[in-house]
Amino acid sequence: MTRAFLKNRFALTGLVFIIAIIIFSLFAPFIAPYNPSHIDTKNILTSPSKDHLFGTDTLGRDIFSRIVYGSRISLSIGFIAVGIAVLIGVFLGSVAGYYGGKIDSILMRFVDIMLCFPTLFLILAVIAILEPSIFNIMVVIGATGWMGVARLIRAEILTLKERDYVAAAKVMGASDSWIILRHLIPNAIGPVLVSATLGIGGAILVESSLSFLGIGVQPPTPSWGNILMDGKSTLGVAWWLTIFPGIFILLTVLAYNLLGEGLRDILEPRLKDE
Amino acid sequence: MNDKILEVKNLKTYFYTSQVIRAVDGVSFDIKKGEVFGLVGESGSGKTLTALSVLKLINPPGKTIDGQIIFDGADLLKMDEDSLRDIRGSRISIVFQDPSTALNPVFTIGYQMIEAVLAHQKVNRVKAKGLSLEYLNKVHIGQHKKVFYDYPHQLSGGTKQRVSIAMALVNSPELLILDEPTTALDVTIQAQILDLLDEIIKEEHLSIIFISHDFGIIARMCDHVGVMYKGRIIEQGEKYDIIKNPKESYTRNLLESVKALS
Repeated sequence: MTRAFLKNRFALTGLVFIIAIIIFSLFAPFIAPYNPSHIDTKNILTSPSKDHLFGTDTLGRDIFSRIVYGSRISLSIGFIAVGIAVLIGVFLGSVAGYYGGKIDSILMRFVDIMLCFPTLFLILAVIAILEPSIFNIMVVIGATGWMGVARLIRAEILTLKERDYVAAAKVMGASDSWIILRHLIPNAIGPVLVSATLGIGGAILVESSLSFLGIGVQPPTPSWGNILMDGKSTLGVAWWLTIFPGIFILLTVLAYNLLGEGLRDILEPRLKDE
Repeated sequence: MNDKILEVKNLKTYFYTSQVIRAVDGVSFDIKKGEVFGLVGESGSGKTLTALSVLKLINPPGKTIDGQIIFDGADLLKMDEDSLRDIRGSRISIVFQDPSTALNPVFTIGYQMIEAVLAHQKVNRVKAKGLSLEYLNKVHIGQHKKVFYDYPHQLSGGTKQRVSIAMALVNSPELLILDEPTTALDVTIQAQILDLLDEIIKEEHLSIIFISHDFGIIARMCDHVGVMYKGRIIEQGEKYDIIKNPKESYTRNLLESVKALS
């Protein structure tokens, strides 16, 4: 499997970029040349130069430093939101798939209902009621993004639970939770991994959209979305305020999508030829 | 003295789909200690479901609605989950038809065997590993030390079935259910597995329910035979009586079909 992964150029490119961006965010204090919140009124809206690689904003803050620190926020929102979505999705999906019958019907109708809401507006409404803290944003993105995972896991478990090794585990005296956790979920996790990888890219985009609309991560904490928003008003005179964070969002989401697509090819080789 | 290890009385397992399917419809048989009881019949006659009912492994929409399954003096159908758990896998165990689905593809053979041992025996992991290796050796897996660390997809069908048998035996059960243990294998491997089962039956003094659609295999392995048709045992008795003197025309037809082939 490792070899298949190394052969897949898309997946590899995606992974390399993701690792680079993670290192970037982990070592932010060493990489960023300035304090991201440092206001320098003498250098307002300077264009990219040797001192300020990506230029400065309306308060004279260094854009490069803000992007580096912003990557911490954007990436962790991506990871944790998707982590929450996967936890909820795997739990509800496996319970629905394993027990079937009424439990399945009720849970899957609930999934249908959740899918009817336009997600972004639901998130907007919830964030408007609660305060727009980073924690709330993670939870809300996660809580509105688990339905796909639940459906995937349920479908996998519906076929897997008929296998003899499940009956064999039952004969051995395994409990329901043991069978679900140890026998079914490890066998069903492949498609979920793919969907989660694609989901991280999606979650980063949602966070950017929220921040762009002004109800995401609140200033002065930098996130890619709110750096982009800061640049909106001066787009005509200072292109670097929007282009650079935009490129980072684009490349990161693209990297996650490449990795996700690549993983899908590796885990489900049947789809490759189509 | 009660020398019967299992008594099944009037067992009824129905499936409640759009109509009621009477998959097992009033089956009764006894198995004495150390006896091999064969259940023979065509596909869909209820052989496997009888065996699964004995272990209470029937999933909805199926349900065992009537009967008694008396194992060592206690009725399994009246037993609660916890007591049943002590019996399943340790005192009664099962080998399934298709070895490719009977093992979990994401764990090594060793891991799954140790899990089976630890589920029923109070031993530490080192002991459990020793016991697992001992049983893998007992079923004549040549490189049992290597196979221990292999995943199911790295093994051949025959080896996988040997592993399933080892896993069913590792807790020294008193009653073993063999559900068409050779059907998914090709003929030469079938013969090897049957030899192995012969040997194990003699060595371990097991009582066995042997399920097969092949009268040839049943004739070779069993002491008593029950012929199943449409959810009922239509004829049962000593193997030789049934083969020489079949009373039902269906049994005669089954026997004829084997002769016609050989």
